[in-house]
Amino acid sequence: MQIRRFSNPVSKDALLDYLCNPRSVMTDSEALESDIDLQEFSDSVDNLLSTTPNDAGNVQRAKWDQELVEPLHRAMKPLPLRDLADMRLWHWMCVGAFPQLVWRRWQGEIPNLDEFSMPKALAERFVGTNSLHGISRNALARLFWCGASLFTTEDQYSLAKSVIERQDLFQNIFERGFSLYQPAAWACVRELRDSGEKQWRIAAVNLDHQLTTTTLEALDEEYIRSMLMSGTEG
Amino acid sequence: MSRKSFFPYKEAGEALTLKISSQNIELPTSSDGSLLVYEANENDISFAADVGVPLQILNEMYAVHESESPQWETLLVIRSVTSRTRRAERLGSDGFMKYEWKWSKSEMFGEVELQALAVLRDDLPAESASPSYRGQVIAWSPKKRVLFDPPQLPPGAYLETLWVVFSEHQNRWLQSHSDSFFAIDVSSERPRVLLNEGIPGFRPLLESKGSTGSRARGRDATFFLVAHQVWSSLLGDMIFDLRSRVQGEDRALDVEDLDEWENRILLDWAPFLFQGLAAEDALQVLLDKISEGYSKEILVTRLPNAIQERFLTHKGPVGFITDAGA
Repeated sequence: MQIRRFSNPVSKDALLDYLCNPRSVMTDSEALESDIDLQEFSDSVDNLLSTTPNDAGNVQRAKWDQELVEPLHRAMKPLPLRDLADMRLWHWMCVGAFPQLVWRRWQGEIPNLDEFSMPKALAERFVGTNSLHGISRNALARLFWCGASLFTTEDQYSLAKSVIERQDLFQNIFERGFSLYQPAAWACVRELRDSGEKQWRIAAVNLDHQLTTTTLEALDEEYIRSMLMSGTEG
Repeated sequence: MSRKSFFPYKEAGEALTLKISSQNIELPTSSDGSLLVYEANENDISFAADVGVPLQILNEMYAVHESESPQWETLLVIRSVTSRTRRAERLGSDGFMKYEWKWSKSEMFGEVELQALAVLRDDLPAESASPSYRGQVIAWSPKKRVLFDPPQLPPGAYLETLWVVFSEHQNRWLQSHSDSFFAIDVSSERPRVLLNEGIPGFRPLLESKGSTGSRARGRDATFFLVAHQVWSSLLGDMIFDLRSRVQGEDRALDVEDLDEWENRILLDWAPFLFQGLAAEDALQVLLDKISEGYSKEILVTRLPNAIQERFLTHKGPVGFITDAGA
């Protein structure tokens, strides 16, 4: 499979047209200069789609993210950052290459497109901007950047797998600017992954407030963890 | 020089200088000094950051004994949401420092922001005259930008405006307010500003050219008055409406609660309401504060200052004050 990107970002208004007319994806996209091997990832996707019952619930489908974060990141990490940060690539991945995965993961089933009205929240899973919010909602960009942010030589993908399953925790961390600083991302996941929702919500808000006067990039993971811990006390 | 004082600890404000330059080629710059990499033909570009630090000020603020190293250090912070990166280079504690590096176009996307910051190296003892913590910012430079792609226009800075004659408009409310200078129309999906062409001289004044003289001063003062009132009303209405969406529910506001128009406006304004944060972080803090019931504090304390800082509306009266001989 030659990896491609859309020539222009796909808007939410144009999304349904592309999903109804796959041929238009080809004419409106271009091949990347670099090539990568998506076969392992594609095989993982096919396996999940074929072995998961069509009536599988949200919880079961959420586990797909844990299965896919590693093969997706491994496959795509050789691409230049400029390509990886370009949402036109992720639009193509979600709309052109793996739309069935996005439908099944976030809608549960593939609807009758002739009668379907696309909700905003579902559209964000296929497309979106390269903002923190946009990337954290796009079905495949979120997996890749989660793997990229949380990979460590010591833990490999275990941190990424532990957080990607908890959608609310994932969004609460990765829709905040501090998540772009790796030690902060590691600290948040290590400190908060076993916490309840109220605890991690308070910790993340408090960290944001402290960062109005403190430079995150001056701190290491251990110090940030202590800041998070102080935020959840009391 | 702006000063930020969120807590009563010693800080020197915007006391650092920072110059970012390209070394191997000459890069074009925008009107605000941003380096435009996207207009260069070369792929690999060498950069240099020259940082100036007022040693005497910082060493006096955080007293240094001869045998001890400074309690602070200078960082060059590099941040880019579009390139998914945040990092810092440690420059040391000298008065003038230089840092050099190379970027290839394939490494970055969109906009990169650089800033020099003087920060505390470690927590100060609790018994210190001014207790503070590791990483606390005690002085900073203006921010500089390097653009790997053409900038996106900030939509929140612009509102659609229309000139209409209120007394002749089909809308009865406008007819009954024919002596008003402006009105905000919220009847359509996106708010817009209606300016009253029926007031003699109003349109020619607002559309007049020139940067000096009484006419320019009148134009600017009028513009700033309108801008201040429009944004106060729009943002105030938006914030109270957002609060009502979660009132009585045990949840906080989320970016998902915003429609696209609201998202773009608030993302644009949030950094002015909560200074020191990147746009998306500031938006999240804004939504958290609204959810926690701090709407009034935002509107009464933060919003007026945010509007004045954003549009420099204090410049409006300055000319008249000069004319009055004050």
